[in-house]
Amino acid sequence: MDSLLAKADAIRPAPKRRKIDKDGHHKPSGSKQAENSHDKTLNSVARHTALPPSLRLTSPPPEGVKKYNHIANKKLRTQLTRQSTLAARQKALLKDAELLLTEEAGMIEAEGELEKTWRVGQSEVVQAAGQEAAKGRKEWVLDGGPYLSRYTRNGRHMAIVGKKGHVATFDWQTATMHSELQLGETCRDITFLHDHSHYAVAQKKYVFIYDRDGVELHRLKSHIEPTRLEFLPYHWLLASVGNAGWLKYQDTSTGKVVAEHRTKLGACNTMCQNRHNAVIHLGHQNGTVTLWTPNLPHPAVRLLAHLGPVAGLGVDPSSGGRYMATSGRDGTVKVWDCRNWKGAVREWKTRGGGAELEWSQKGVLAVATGGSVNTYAKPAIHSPFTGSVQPPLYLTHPIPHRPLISVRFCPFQDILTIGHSAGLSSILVPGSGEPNFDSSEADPFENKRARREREVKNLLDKIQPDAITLDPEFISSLAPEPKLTTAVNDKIEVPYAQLPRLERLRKMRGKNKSLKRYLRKQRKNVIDPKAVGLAGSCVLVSG
Amino acid sequence: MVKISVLQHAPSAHLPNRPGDPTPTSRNLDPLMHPFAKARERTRALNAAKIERIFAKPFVAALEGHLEAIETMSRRPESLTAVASGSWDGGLIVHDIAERTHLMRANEAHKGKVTGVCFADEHRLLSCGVDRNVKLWDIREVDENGAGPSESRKPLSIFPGKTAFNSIDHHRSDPLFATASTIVQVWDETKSAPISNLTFPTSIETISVVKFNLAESSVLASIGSDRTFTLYDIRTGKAERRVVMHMRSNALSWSPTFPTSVLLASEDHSLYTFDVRSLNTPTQIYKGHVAAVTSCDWSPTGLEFVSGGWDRTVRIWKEGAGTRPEVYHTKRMQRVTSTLFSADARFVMSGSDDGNVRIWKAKASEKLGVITTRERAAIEYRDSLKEKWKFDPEVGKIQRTRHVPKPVYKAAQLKRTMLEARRVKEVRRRKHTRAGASKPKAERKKVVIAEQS
Repeated sequence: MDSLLAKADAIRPAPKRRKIDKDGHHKPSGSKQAENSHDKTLNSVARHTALPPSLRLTSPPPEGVKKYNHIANKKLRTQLTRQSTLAARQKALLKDAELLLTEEAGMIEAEGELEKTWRVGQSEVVQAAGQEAAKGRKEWVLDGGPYLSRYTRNGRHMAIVGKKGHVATFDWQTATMHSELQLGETCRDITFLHDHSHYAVAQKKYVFIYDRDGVELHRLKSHIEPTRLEFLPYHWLLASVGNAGWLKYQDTSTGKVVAEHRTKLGACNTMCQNRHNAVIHLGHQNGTVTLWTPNLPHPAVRLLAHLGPVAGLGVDPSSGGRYMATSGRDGTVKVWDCRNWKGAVREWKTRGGGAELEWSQKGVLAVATGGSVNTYAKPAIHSPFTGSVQPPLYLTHPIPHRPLISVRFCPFQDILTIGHSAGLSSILVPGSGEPNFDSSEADPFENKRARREREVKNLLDKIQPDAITLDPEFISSLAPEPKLTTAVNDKIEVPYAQLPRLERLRKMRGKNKSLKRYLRKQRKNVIDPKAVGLAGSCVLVSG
Repeated sequence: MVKISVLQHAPSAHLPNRPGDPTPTSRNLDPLMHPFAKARERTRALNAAKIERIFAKPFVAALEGHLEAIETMSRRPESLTAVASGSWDGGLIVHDIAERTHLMRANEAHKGKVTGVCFADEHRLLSCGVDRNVKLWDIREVDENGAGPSESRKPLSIFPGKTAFNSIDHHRSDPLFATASTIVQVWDETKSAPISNLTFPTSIETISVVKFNLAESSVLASIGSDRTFTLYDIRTGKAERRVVMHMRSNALSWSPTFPTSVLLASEDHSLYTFDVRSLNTPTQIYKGHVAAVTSCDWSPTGLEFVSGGWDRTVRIWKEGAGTRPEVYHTKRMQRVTSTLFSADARFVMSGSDDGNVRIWKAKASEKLGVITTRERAAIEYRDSLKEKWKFDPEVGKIQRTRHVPKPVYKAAQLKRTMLEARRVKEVRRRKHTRAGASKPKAERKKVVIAEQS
C-alpha cells in the first residue's frame, strides 16, 4: 500500500549530484536548461508534446498585451492571457504579410509645383500604360438612350442597360458576350447578383431576374416601378427602391421578401450601399439622405444633406465606409464623416447641377457633372476644410454626350466607366484600383470550378439579414452594460422573475398600504426629495 | 515630366501554366478586403455546430447472442476487437466486434447467471457465476490439443468455491486472480483452492466488485454492500483502508493513466473519482444520470470514461468535467448493466437488460472510414470554430442541447425540483436556527461518512 502511495506521488527530478569536472574549472549551472535536463519525465514527454521547431514562434510577445491579473482562476487566467498574446502577435504579423503583396498600384506623380496631374489627358495615360492596361480605355457607341453600367465584384464582367431597354452582359476583358436583350420597355437600373451568372434589371413595372444567358428566371412582382437596385453580396439580399418610395429587400437565396420599408419621402432615384456594413443609403427629393437596415422600420440615420433633391450618393470603401459623398441638384457636392453627422467634412460647388458619384477601392472620388468627369484623390478629399472650394483635382475628362448618368469604377483595375447618352466610355484613372485581390473573396481570374465552389461557400456563409447594423463589429463584441437602471437610492431592484425561489415564495405582506402604494407610483428614475422624505418616514413608521 | 503608371495584372501569374495545373491563388490580408469577417465566421461556427448535431449518429451495431440480460463484459488485453460477455442465462460469448461474429460461445457456462468475466491472457478466459464455480476457458477455435469446436465447450479447469461469486479480476502480470463473494479471495491459476482470503476485520458484507490496480498490480480495490470501498494489498494479505459512503457503489474502475485515481459508480445517480491518497473527499462528482449508475469504465487514454445507468442511458464523461456528459440512448435499449470502452478509445460497448451488446462511437459525430487530408483539415477547422464561438448563445445552445427520451427528461425535471425543494428547506431551517448553529456542508464532504484503516 505504501509503495502505491509513494509511487503515485509526482515524479521528482533525480537528486542533484555534484559534478566532478576533470578540467578543474566549474561552470555555473543555474540556468533552467540545466535543471530541465535532469528531469527525465519532462524530457521524455517534451519530445512528443512540443511544437516542431519550424512552427514555434520566434518573435518575442508584443508589448502592451492585456493582462488578466484580476482573475482568480489560474486556468482561466492562463488561457485568456495566452489568447490575448496570440491575438496581439497575429496583429503584429499581419503587417509582415504586406510584404507578400506582389502587384503595385498605379499612380500619377507630378514633379514640381508647376506640373498638375489634371493636365494629363487620356491619350497620355494610354501611351504610358502597358499593353494590357491600355485595353481599359474604350468607347462603346450605342444608341438607345443614356446607359448605366455595373461590374461584378471581381471586376471581370460588365452589365449595361440603356434607358430604352437594351441590356447586355459580357466579359469585357475577353470581349465575350454572355447575353444581349432588347426588352422594349424603360429600364432604369441593372445589377449582378452574387456573380455574373444572374443579374437583375429594374424595368418599367417590376424587377426581373435573368440568368447568364439572358433567360428570364423571375419576375419580382413585389418590387413595383423600381428605380434603383443594389445587391448585398454577403447577405444575398436584393434591395430596390422605386417611384412609390418603398425600400424592399428580397433574399435571393430563399426568394422571400425580407423587409419592406416605407420611406414616406416620395419617389427615390438615388441609392447606394455601404460595402462594410451593408447599410443602404437613400437620397430623397427633399434633400434628405436616409440610412436603412432591414431590421429597423425607420431609418437608422436621417440627414438633411442638400437644399434640393439628392442626385448622387457614394460611400468610400477604402476607409471602411467611413466617408460618404453626396451631391444635389443644387449643384453642391459634400463629403460626410459617417461617424459624426454634424456638418460635412468639406463641400464644393460643381457646374451643371446634379452629379453622379462613385468612390473607387483606393478612395478616388469620381464626380460626373455637366459635360465632364472629375476625379479627386484621397488625402485631400477626407481632410476637413471650411469654405466651398473644390479640392485639388486629380484627373478630369470631358465627355460631350450629356447627360452623364452613371460612373462606375472597375474593381481591381484602374478603369472608370461613364454612362452617357451616346453609350459608354471607359477611361483610365491610375491609382484607383486595388492591385492585390484576395482569391477567397473575389478573383478576376477564377475558372468555372472556382466560381461554382465560391457560390456554394458564400451561400453557406450567408449572414442573416437581421445582423445588419451600423456597426459591423458588434457581432463578436460583448453586450454593453445597460445605461438605464431601475436603481432607487443606488439600490437595484431585481425583477421578480430573477429573484431566487426563496424570495419569490415570500408572501408580500403589507404591500398595499396606501402610503406604499403612493410611493410605488412615485418611484421613477428621478430622485424626488419629497418621495425620499416620505420613504424615510415610512421606514420610521414600520421600524 | 509626369510619371504615370497604370495597374495591370500579369495573367501569367494568375493562370495555370499548363492545363490541369491548379489555378494560383493570391491573398490579401487587409481587413478592408474582408468585410463581415466576424459575422461570416460566426455563421460558419453556427453551421459547424449544426453539422455536428446532424451527423451525430453514434449507434454502430447491436451484437446478439444472449437469451437474457447481460451481466458483465470484459475486454481482451492488447486486442481491439475481442470482448467477452456473460449473461443471466449462464451463457458466455466472446464477440469479435469488428467482424460482429462470435469467437467463442458457451451456452451453459454456469448454472444461473454469469457474474464476472475477465481474460487471464490472450487465449484464456476466466468466468465466475452464482453456481459457486470459477471456470477457465480456452477461447481458440482449435486448442493446443487439436480439438476443434464441439457442441458443448469444456472449461480447461474449474475452481470450486464455497459461496456464490460476484466478480472476478485477473492480476496484470502474475497468474493470480481475485474473486469477490462474502470475502475477497486470491487464487493461483494452478491451484484449486484460494491462496489467501482478504477481508476487512469486522466486516460482514457481500463484496460486489473487485479490481486490481493497473500500475501497482498488487493493490486491489473492492466495493461492498455495506456502502464500502476497500483497498487491499495482496503482498501483506490485508485490507489497508476502507471508506464507508452514504450510498453503495455499483461499479469500480481504476484509471489506466493515473494510478491513484479510482472511479466509483454510485447508487445515488452520481459517479465519483477518488484519489486513494486522500479518501475523505472525492476529487470530482459527476452528476447527470437520473437513476442509479450501474457500470463504468475508463477510456484507455484516461481522459474520458463511460457509464451506464438504470435510466437506460449510456453517458460519456470528460475527466474533470462533472456535468453535461454525452448521452446515448435507443428505444430498445433497456437498463444498462455493463459498459466498456474499446482499446482504441474510439468505441464504447454497452450491455443491457435486453440481452444485446451495443457498439457506439465514443464521439457521436465522428466519421468512420478513410478521411482525406482536406476533410481532416475541414473537421479541425470546424472544431476550432466551435471552440471559439461556444460562448455565442446560439452556437453554444446547439452544442449543449441533447434530446433525451421523455421518461429521462421527466425524471431529470422531477429530480431537479426535489433537490431544489430540499435545498430551500435546508436554507429555511438554517435561517430559523441560532446563527452559526449549522453550517452548510459542501457536496463533496457529504459523500464519505467514515474512513477506516
